Amino acid sequence: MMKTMSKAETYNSKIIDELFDSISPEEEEKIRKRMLLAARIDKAIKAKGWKKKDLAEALKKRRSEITRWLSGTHNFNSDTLFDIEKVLNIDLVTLKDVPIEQVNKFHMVFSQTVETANSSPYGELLSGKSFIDLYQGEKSLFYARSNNKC
Amino acid sequence: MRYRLVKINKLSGYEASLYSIYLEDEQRTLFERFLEENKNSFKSELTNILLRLNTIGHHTGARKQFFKSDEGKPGDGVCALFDIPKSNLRLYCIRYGSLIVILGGGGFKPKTIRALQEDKKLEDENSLMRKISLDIRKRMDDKEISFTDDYMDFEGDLIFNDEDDE
Repeated sequence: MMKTMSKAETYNSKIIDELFDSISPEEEEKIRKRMLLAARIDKAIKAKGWKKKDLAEALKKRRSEITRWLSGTHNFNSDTLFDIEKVLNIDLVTLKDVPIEQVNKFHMVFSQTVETANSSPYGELLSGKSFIDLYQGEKSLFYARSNNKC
Repeated sequence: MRYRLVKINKLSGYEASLYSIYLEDEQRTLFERFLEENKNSFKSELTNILLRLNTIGHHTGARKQFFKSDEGKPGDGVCALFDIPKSNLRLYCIRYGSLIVILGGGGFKPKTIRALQEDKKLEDENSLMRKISLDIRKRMDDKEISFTDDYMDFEGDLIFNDEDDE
């Protein structure tokens, strides 16, 4: 029989599509992040010239627990992540003093009000009749409005 | 048994190619059979498995840490996707580095059994993956199958028929 030489056929599966249709984006993101976190920890172990047993010793854990951490299935608690960050000297949890979303929103709103100060409810900010706390964004503006009555 | 290697479009990405075994008699892949067998009893576990495989294909590659190694004979690449905590739905695979995974079948592995030999279904699924790994190895040795230049795919004669070997 003549043998064919070719690349593999690309296969579309109905049942895989159906199962994916029932998965929420939040669920997908959670699994993806767990695996990316596990991959990052594994890369850091290797970058340090360590093996799993070295991390286990540094954190006083069993090697089987490190294996589970690296499997991409583990739901870490924050203390564990802080401990891993410390011994591997990596950043796994980004903490900033400023609540990023609120500040972004503030910047967006503020830049919009520059052009439309008179018609904007944020016009007070430009006229100096109100104050805004960079860290609290709109919440402080609301406070200023309701209390200063300027 | 007549089968061919197929590349699963949905799960394959820039980081890894995910293949399965299309069984001509059943008109479905081993992985689809695994999904069909478990979709009613273990849907959440299947969802988790699918999402992990999708992440492997599109984001992380088939890193060794995501698999339970040494589920076959030394060097045959037969492994299992790491079991989810509190669940024992096991999926057997063959891993070729971090770029190619062949998805096979599996089943429920209750906590009460320690070795796969204690469960006929799991033993059969595992044996099948060992056989397939051997078939592929033979074809590679005979230069009838090879990896593509980027090692992301197989190329060559990907159709297998046990009668050919008799």
